[in-house]
Amino acid sequence: MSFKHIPLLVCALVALTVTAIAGAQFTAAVVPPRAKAKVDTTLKQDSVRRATVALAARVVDMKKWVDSAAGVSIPRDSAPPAKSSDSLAAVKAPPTKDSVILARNARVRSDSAASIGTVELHDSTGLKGPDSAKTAPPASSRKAPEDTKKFASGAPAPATASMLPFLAIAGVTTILAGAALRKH
Amino acid sequence: MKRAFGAALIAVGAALLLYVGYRYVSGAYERDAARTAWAALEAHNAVASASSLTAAPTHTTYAAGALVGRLLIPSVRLDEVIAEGVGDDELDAGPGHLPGSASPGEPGNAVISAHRDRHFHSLGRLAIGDTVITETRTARTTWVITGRKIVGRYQPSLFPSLEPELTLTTCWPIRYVGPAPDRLILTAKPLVTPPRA
Repeated sequence: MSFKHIPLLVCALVALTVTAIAGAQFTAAVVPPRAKAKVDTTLKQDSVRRATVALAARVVDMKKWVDSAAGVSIPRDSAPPAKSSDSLAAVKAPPTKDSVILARNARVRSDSAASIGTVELHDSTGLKGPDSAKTAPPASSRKAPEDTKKFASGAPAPATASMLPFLAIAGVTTILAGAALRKH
Repeated sequence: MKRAFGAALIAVGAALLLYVGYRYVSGAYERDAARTAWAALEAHNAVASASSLTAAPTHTTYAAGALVGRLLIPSVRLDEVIAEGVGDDELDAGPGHLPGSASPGEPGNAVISAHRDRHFHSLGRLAIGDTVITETRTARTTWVITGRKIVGRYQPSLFPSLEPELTLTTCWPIRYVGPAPDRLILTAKPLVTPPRA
């Protein structure tokens, strides 16, 4: 073997490396993809908006809500009470500016509860909730989970996959191919 | 030209085979070393337990690479020494005990993993009802396999338990060229847990 054979050797090494990497990619592709439920994006955006509004109303009116829940009498004024069958919205609160917002969002609250349920349903199907929908990277750029090195609840089994059988077969095949080339 | 390329291929193939052989031989050497060390540890433990009546700790923790115990599966004639950790070095020597999981025989889920092409090559032949025995410094436990499932590589499969439980994992399919896409999970419950003499 002389120096002119070095490029050939390098080519063979590169080919083997690429084969190994391609094999790993193919293996990754064998894993069945997660089932994706059909998601109406307009509904998702709407549920995000309603959940945000409901949260704002809940935080702003928290003191009133606590007072009313504790049975503290609160003076009423002329504004009509919130008409809603929702138990949260039926809280007796003074019709201040905040409570008007609350009353206006009474329906929103009940809807937001439903939207929270929807979020949980999405999570159970492997999809992200409304909040994470904004920040979640696309599926193509999502990184594979790291191998388990320490016990944790719900962790996948440790990575015990071995490349040695593949390398052994690749080695034997390469030798046989080389021998065949030399014979001809 | 063809002959030169053929020679290059032969050289590359020989290098690959040498590397694979080295890994298998070094693994076998480390396995023997672990067996010898475990035998010495058992002898030392017997002397210590005979001269002391201190109670065994409830939860044992191990340093990385430390010997955890011995795993015996009579139906497939498996007899391996378990080391702490599931890295390449530990799994080369033998089955590895997943750090953070319970010690075999103690309350909690004890997870033991190994390569399918070496120490756990016969794990696929086990079925529900087969017996597994673990020996640690504090307990000898006989387990009966109660669950067998095949899950995806990234599928959650390890869960905590209040009762003693043993989980054996390896890659699946057993005969697969390349990194296997699935995992074989065997769960076992203790049959009898007599105290170590």
